[in-house]
Amino acid sequence: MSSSHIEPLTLSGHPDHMGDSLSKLRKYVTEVSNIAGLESQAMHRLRLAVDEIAANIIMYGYAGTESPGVINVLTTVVDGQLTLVLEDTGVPYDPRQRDLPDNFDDPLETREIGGLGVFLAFENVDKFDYQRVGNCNRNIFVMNCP
Amino acid sequence: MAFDASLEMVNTIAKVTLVGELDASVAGLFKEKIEEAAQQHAQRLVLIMPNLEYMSSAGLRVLVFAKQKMGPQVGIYVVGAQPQIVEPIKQTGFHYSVTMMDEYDAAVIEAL
Repeated sequence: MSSSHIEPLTLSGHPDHMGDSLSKLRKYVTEVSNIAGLESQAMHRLRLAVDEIAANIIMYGYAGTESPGVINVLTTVVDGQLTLVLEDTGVPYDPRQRDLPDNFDDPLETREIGGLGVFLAFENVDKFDYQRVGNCNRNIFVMNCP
Repeated sequence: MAFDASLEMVNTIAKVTLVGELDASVAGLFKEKIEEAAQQHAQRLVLIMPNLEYMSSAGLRVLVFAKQKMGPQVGIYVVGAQPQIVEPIKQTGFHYSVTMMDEYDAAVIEAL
């Protein structure tokens, strides 16, 4: 079994810090993608997927809570798979339960805007999973390395 | 790279230049430029994107807003978008409603 140790990252989940948190997260995803040897297109896809779910955590998971918590980012690269986990303690939310848009042929002016981010997250990783562990949401992104 | 959006009106053509990383935290600035263009009765919306390095669904939602705010008759042109921007546009079917161009094509955009 081959594996790489990658330092975790902790981000603020406070909506006032969203720009800084998302920027740091995208930089982190770029770095771990390079460690894992992902090609440029795969790196961009993972970055988009992770950013979309993190933005939802900040805007919906922590919004309205008295003291928004943090987002912990954990990454492993084992046996040719990069696994990145976003952990938060916001309201329980399983993105897999969300209705996704399917009206892709419709003109823009009639399009529903809900669900686009979750759709893109699912579409751009090799595997997406969700776990609820204690008071923690775990959004799990898996990419196959070349 | 920090995000920026700037609007230039040329007759009835609104040119919005997007630079940097467009995520949920800054999409409001892009939306403001669309509102300004709509107030000036733009008949075409040209999005200059060669220096846009990242765009999340927040940017796509602004495109929907643009069509709803400016009207379905207003053409939207996406110019010079990098591959990582083009892919989500295509994945969500937005390319059916906007015109994708590698470079600004005056003959197409400025035609009556």
